[in-house]
Amino acid sequence: MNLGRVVGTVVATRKNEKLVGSKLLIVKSMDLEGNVVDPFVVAVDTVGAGVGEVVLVVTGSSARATVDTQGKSVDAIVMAIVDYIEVDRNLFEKVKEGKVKTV
Amino acid sequence: MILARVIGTVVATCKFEKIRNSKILAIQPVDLEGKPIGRTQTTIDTIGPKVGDIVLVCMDGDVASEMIGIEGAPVRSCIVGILDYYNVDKKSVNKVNSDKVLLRGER
Repeated sequence: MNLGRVVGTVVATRKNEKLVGSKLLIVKSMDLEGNVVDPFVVAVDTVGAGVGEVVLVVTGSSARATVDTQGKSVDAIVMAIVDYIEVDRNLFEKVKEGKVKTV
Repeated sequence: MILARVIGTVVATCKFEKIRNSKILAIQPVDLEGKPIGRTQTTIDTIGPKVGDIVLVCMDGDVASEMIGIEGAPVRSCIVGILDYYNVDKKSVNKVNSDKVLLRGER
């Protein structure tokens, strides 16, 4: 599972019929200070995440383990929206725009 | 899934029985500006993009086998969609829609 920030969406009309109805999000990786770093992944949304939010992404065959994605052609899903992260007794908490901020 | 640009087709006359009827494409993974990243790859296709199209590539062997309808086929990635456009951080919507990163026919 990777921490990431949703930075955008993808629209594809012609696609595998099993992907019809899935929301596709562009999720950039995020380090523990809240900085967005370069690698990105296109993931299917299962929790209703929006642009700017900090999320957990799971990749690989485990992506098909949720009810929403069972048997679908996906290898990456957004499966949680992060409320806060605690690292070394520092608390990073979600603020309105989904930015991570030291409290 | 990753984003990639289709750069060509691969023809292999002599290939493993199970993937005999599959179309194989050469792809170049791209970043969010449409610039190439990493090495080119080959992948299985059942959707039918043209050369130059940006596609969505699923990097999972099970999905790829399922796409061509053969269990245990020796494939590891497949094309699952052709992009119309993508939005990054809201402000770049127009740019993506209008020029550079767009998508169809560009080579």
